[in-house]
Amino acid sequence: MDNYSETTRDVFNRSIALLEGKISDDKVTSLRQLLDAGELTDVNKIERILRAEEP
Amino acid sequence: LKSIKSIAVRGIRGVRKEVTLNLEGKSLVVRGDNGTGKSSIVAGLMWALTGAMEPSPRAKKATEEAYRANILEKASDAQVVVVLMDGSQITAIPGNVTDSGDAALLRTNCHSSSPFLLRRQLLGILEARPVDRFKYLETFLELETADSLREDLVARARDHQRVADDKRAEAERLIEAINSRIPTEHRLHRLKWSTLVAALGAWARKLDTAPTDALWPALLEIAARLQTLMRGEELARSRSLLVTAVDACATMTECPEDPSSLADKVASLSNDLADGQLVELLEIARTYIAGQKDDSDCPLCGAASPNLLARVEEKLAQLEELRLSQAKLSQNISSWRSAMERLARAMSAVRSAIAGGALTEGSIHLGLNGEDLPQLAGDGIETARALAAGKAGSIKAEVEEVRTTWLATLQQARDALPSEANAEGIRQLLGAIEAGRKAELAITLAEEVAEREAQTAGFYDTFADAIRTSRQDVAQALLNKISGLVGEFYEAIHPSQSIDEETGAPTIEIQRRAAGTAHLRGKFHALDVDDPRWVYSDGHLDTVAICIFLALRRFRADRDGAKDCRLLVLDDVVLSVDLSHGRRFLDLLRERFEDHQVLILTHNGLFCDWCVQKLPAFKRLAITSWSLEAGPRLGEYRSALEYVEDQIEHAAHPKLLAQAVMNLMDEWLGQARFEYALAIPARRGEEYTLTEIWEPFAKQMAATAKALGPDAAALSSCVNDLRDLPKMRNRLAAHDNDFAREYPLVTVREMAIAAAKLVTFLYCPVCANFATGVPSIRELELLRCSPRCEKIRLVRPSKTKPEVQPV
Repeated sequence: MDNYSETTRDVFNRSIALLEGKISDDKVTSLRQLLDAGELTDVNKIERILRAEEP
Repeated sequence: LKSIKSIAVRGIRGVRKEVTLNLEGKSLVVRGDNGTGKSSIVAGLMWALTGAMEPSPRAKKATEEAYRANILEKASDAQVVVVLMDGSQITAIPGNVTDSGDAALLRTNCHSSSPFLLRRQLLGILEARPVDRFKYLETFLELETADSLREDLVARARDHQRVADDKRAEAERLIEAINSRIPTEHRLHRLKWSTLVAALGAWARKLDTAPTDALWPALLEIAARLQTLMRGEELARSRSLLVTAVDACATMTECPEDPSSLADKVASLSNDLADGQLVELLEIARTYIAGQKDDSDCPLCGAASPNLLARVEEKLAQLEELRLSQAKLSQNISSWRSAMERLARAMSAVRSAIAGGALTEGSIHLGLNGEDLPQLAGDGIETARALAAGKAGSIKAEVEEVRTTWLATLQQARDALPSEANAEGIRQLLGAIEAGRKAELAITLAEEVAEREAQTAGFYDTFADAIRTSRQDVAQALLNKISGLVGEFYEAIHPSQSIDEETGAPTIEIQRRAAGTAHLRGKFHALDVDDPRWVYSDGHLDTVAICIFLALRRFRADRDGAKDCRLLVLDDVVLSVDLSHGRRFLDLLRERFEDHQVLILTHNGLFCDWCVQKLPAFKRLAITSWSLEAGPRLGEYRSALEYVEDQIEHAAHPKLLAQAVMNLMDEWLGQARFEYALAIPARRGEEYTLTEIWEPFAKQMAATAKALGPDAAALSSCVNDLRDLPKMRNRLAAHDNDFAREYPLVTVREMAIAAAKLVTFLYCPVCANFATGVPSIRELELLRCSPRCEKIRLVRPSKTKPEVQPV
C-alpha cells in the first residue's frame, strides 16, 4: 500500500474509475486489486489483465 | 534523524580548499559579501542532494552548469560530504554519489522535491511561460510514477498497434493478390476477407454459377465441381452429349402408334387364319361361286351361293388386312428399334461422360440430383435395348412416361451447363477461388491477430487517456490548493490591510490547455491584474516567487509527513525585499516552517541580524573573506556595526576601515531608503549607488534634526561629518597609498565614528527597528523605534513638553 505516494494513488484510483464502462467489470476489479497490491506499475501484469478473454 | 550535521565542500566554483558548515542539526544563516563563495557552497550541496550542477568533465556539451562548476578547479578535485545527525552521509565526487541510511532517503526526497530556492530561480518562476511554469510546479506534485506508467502504456499501445498494422497489411497484401484477379466492377475497396468473399460471390452470380446467397463454403463446393467440367474441351463435349441425348429422346415421338396393339391383332388373325392353304382355297371358292348362273346352293355345304360369296370375300379381306398389319408392325418395330438404339447410344455416351465426372459434377449445382443422371442413363439403355428386341409389352405408355421425364431432365442438364460466353470468366473465377482457398488460413489468421492486437492497443490507449485525464484533474486540484497557500503566505508578508499596501495576494490560475498551463494573476488596488509583472515592484515580485516556492515546499512537507526532506536552502532570495517585509518573511518561516531545517545565505547584514533576532534557534556564521587560492574563510558572525566598531579600535590601514564603513552604510542606507521613504527615482532591479541614496538621506535627516531641535543635534552633526562619504566611496578603487594620502587613518576613523553614531542614533539594537517618524517623517511629532521598545524616543519640542531620553 505504501508503494505509491498519495498523489499517485489518487491518480490511479481516478483512472480506474474512468475505465468503468469502457472495459469489463472483471478487468476493472483486477486492476483495482493490482493497485491495492502496489503493482499497478507492472505493465506485464496489466497486459495479462487487459488481454484476458471475456467469459 | 534527517537533520544535517555538517556540509563539507571543496573544489566547487569559488570554493577551493575544503569549507565545512557545522550545522549540528540546526538551522543556519550565513552572511557573506557578494563573490565570497555562498552560492558555490549551495551549488555543492545541490549536487550532493539532487544531482544537479554536477562538475562533470565528461560533459559533451559545455552547459552553463558544467562551466560554472568547472571554471576554476579540475572536476576530479571536487567533493561534497553531507553528514546527518544519525551519522549517515552522502559523498559526492564527479561521476559517483554514494549515500547510506537516512542520507539516502534525504537525497531521494530532495531529488523529487527540491529544497533549493536560488536568487536566479525567482526570475525564472516569474518570467516562465505558463506552460513551463506549470511543468515547474508539477515537479513538486510527484506525478512521475503516473506519467511513467502512462508512457509505458502508450509505448505498449504503439507496439501492439504496430503488430496490428503489420498483420493487417499482410492480410491486405494477400487479399489484394486475389482482388487483382477480380473484374473491375466487383473489385474491393476495403481489403477484408469478408468483402473478398462477397465480391467472389457477386462475380459467381454474374456468371450464373452460384445462387444469390452463396457463402464461402458454397463457393468452394461449386468451384470443386466445376474444376473438371471447365478443364480443356470438357464443357463442349458434355454439351454435345446432352444435345444428342435430348435429340434421341425427342425422336421417340416418331413412333405414334402403339406396336403392342398391332402385335395383338397380328396374333389374333394368325390364330384365326392358321391354315396356310386358306388363301388359295378361298380364291378358288370365290371364282366358282362368282361363276354360278343361278342362286343355287353350294353342292358341298348346301349354303346359298350369295351368302357364301360374302363370307369368302370377308375372309379374303381379313387376310389382306393381316398382311398389311404385319408389314406395318415390322416397319414400326424397326422404327422403334432405330430410335431406341440412338437413345441407347446417347445414354451410353452420357454415362461415359458421367463416369468421367465432368458432366455430373458440373451439373449438380444446377439443381439435378446427383444420382438422377446416371440412373437415367442406365435405365434408358436397358429400356431402349428391350424395346429394340421387340419384347416390350405396353411399350407406348411406358415409353411416353419415361421419355417425358428423360427429356425434361436432359434438357435441364443441357440448359444448365455454363454458356460458352461465360466459360473464360468462370475459369478466372475458379482461379480466384482457388487462390482464396490457399490463402484463406493466412488471411483470416492475420486479420484475427490484427483485430486482437488493435483491440489490445485500444485498451492501452484508453487506460493511458484515463491516466492523462486523472493526472490533470489531480494536478489542477493540488495546484489550486497550492495557489491558496501562495495567497496565504503573500498575505502574511504583504498584509492587504496595511495602509501602504496596494497589491493583493497573487493567484495561480491552472488551465488544462495542452499539457497544462499556470498563469500568474495579481491584484492591484482591488483590481485584477493579468500579469503581476505589469504593476508589482521588483520586491513584490520576488515575494510572489518566494511564496510560490514556500507553498510548494509546505505542500510536500504536509503531504509526505516524516518522509519529507524538511529542508529549505534559500540563497540570497531577499535581495529586492525591504527589511520590514523581510521581517514578515522571517515570521512566516518561524510560524510555518518550524519543522524544517533552514539554511539561509545572504549578503544583507541587517537581514542577517533580524534572522538571529526573529529565529533565535538559528546558528549564524559569516564569510569573513575570500581569496582565489583558498576560497571563502568562515568566522563568527558580527554585524556590520560591530565590525566597524572593532575596526575603529584595531584597523591599521585607513582603507580597511573605510571598507568596513562602506559595508555598514551600504546595508544600512539600503534599508533607510525604505524606512524614510526617500525620494529616489525608480530603477529596475533597485540597484542604487550609495551616492544616490546618501544625498536625499542627508537632506531628510537635516530636516528631521531641525524639527526635533537641540536634542537631535547629534544627528545633524553625524550627517555633516559624513558629507564626504560618497567621495570616499569613489576613492576606494585607488591604490592603498593614494587612498591613505587623501584619507589618512585619523580622518577615516572620525568618519567611522560618525557613521557608527548615526546608525546607533537611528537604529535600535534592542528591537532591531529604525527610529521612524510619527505620524510621518515629514510631519514629525515623534521619532521612535517600536512602541513596545521605545529605546529611541525623541519628541518635537513644539508639540509637547520635551521628553528626551538618552540614546
